[in-house]
Amino acid sequence: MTSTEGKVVSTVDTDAALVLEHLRVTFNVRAKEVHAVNDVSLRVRPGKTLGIVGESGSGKSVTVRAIMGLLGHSATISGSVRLDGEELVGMPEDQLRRRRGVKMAMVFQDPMSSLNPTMRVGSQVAEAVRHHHRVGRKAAWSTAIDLLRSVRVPDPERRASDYPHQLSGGMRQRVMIAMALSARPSVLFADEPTTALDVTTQTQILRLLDDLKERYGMGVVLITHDLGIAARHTDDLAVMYGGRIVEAAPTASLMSAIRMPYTQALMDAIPRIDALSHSRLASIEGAPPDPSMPSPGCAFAPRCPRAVDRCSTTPPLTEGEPGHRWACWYPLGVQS
Amino acid sequence: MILGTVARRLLHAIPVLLGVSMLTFVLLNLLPGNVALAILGPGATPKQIRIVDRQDGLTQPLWDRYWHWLTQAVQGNLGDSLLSHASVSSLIGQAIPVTLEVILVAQIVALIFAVTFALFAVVIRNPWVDRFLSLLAFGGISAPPFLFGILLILIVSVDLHWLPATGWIPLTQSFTGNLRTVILPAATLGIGEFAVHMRILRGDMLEQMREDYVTTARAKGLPRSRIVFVHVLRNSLFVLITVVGVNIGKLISGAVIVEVLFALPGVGNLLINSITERDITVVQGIVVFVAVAFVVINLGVDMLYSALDPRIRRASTDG
Repeated sequence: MTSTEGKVVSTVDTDAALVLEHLRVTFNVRAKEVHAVNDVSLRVRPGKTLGIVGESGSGKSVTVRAIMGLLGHSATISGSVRLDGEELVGMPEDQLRRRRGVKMAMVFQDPMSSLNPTMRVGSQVAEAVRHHHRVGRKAAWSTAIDLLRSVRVPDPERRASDYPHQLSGGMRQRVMIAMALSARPSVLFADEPTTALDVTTQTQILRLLDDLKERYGMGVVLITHDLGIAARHTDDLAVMYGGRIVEAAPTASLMSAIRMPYTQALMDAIPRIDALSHSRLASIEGAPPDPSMPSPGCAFAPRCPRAVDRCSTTPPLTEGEPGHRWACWYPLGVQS
Repeated sequence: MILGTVARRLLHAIPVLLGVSMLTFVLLNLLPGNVALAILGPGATPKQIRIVDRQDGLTQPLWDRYWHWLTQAVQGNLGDSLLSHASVSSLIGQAIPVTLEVILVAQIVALIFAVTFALFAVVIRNPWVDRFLSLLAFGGISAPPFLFGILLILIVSVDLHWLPATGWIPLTQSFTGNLRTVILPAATLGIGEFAVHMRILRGDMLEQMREDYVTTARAKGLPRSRIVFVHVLRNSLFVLITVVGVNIGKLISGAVIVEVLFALPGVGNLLINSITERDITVVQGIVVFVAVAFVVINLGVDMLYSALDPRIRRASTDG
C-alpha cells in the first residue's frame, strides 16, 4: 500500500456522494477464503457517473452488491464505505436495509427476471413508494404512474396495470429505473443495465440515466464490460481486473492517455465501424484469473504482451499523473 | 376461450370414464362369490342362489349387462342396490356429505398449517426450526395414515376420553357434536397432506429466494418478512396448487381407510361394505362417481392455476 493511494481518497470527499476506501470482500467457500474484491478505493460525485469497467469475474458486481449489502452471509466486507458521510461497513442489517432503496438504489442486468412475474408493474413501483413514504394505496399508485412517466414509459396509466411479460425489455428496464428512483436516492447503481437489451434500446436507456442524474443530481455507478459505452456515458472511470482497480481517472483524461495495458486490450476489443469487413475481431488471449487461486504479482501479467520478470511482484495503484491512477510497472506512453 | 378449454377437457374425460367403468365391471365379475350369498346366508343351496341371480339379472352375458348399465348411467340412473334395493344415487347422496366434510376439513387444515409452518421456517431461517420441520415432514410423509389414526384413537379417545373413537354426528344435527366426530378423522387424513405440502412449499420458497426479483425486492429495502409473504409466497403458490391437485387421488383413497377406521357413514365405508357383500351395482356407481369427481376437481385446479398466473391467463385469452 502506498502513500499516494491513501491520499487520493482522503483529501477530497467533502463533495462526494459515496466514498469507498480500501474495500475488501472475501467469500468463505468451503472453508477457503476467496478474495473477490481487493483494496478498492473510489469516489462517486453527485450528478456524475462513475463507470466501472471489467470482464466477468473482475469483481465489479461484487463491489456494488457489497455496498448495497446484498451479498449473503458467506461474504466478509472490510474497509470503508461512506454514503452521504455515513459509514455503511459494519452497520447492522436492519439499519442498512432502511438505506437501501432510499439513499442508494440499484438497477439490474436482466429486467425480465428482476421483476416479479406475478405482480403488476405499477404495484411493484407503488410498493417501493409506499415503503419509503407513508402514503396510502391510491397516492402511491398515482406516484408510481408519475415515476413511470418520468422514465418515459408511454401511456403510463395503462402500462402500470401490465404484468412484466407484457412489456418489452426496454420498458421493463424503465420500470426498474422508476422503482429505483422512488425515493430519490443519492446514488444509483446500474449493474450492466443494457446488456440484455438491443442496441437502439441500449442508447435510450443510457441517455435516460444521463438525464436523470442531471435532473436529480444523483451519483450514478454504471457497471459495464463495454469500454465504448463507458467512454460515452461516464464522467469518471475505473477499470477493474482480478478484484482490483488497475486504472482510474476522469473519463476524458483516461481515454486520451490509456496507461494500463489491460485497458488498452479492452479498447482494442471494441468492434470498430471503420474496420475492414470480415477482419478479425481483437480479443484478449487467455482467461481472467480465478479469484480462488490467487497468484503473486500483477494479475494481468499472464495475458499481458508487455509482461516481464518484474511483473511477478504486484504493482501498486499509484497516481502517476494528477487524477490518473494506474497499477502497472511499465505503463503505456510513459518513459521509464 | 376458458369455456373451450373446459369443454375440451370434459371430452377427454369421456374415454377415461368409459375405461374405468368397463374395467370395474369386468373386475367385479372376476371376484369369487356373489350378492346372493350375502342375501341368503352361508347355508344357501346352489338352486336358491341361481334364483336370486336371475332376479338380479346376473345370469345375462357380461356385455349385455354392461350395455344396460351404461345406457342407464348416461341418463343419470346408476341403478339400485342389489341388497337393499335403494337407488345407488341416493346411497351415495347420503354418504357424500360425510366424505366431503372429512376431506375438506383435512385439506384446509393441512394447508393452513403447511403454509404457516413453511412461511415461519423461511422467514426465521433457524437451523433448529428447519431440522424440526424436516423431521416432521419426513415422519408425516413416510408413515401410513392408519398408523396416525390408531395412535390418535389410543391417545385421544381411549386414554384421555376427549373425543369419540367412532361414529358420526351430522352437521345438521349438532355443530359441536359434528366437530367432535370430524376432528380425529380429519387429523388422520391431514397429517400426510400437511407434511407433503409443507415440504414442497418450503423448498420452493427457498428456491424462489434466490431469484432475481427477490434481489430487486431486497434492493428496494423491503424487510425479509414482506419479501417472503408478498413476493415469494405468491410465486410459490403455483407449486402448491399443483401438488394439491396431484394429491387428490391419494386423499380420496385415504378417506376410504379413515372412514373404515373411524366407522364413518361415508362413501368409503359404503364402498368397502358393498365390496364385501358383492353389491356390484353400488361398487360400480361409486367408482364411476369418484372418477367423475376426480376429473372435475383436477379441472378446477387447472382453472385456478390459470386464474392465478397472469402469464397463463394472458396466453389462454390470446390464443
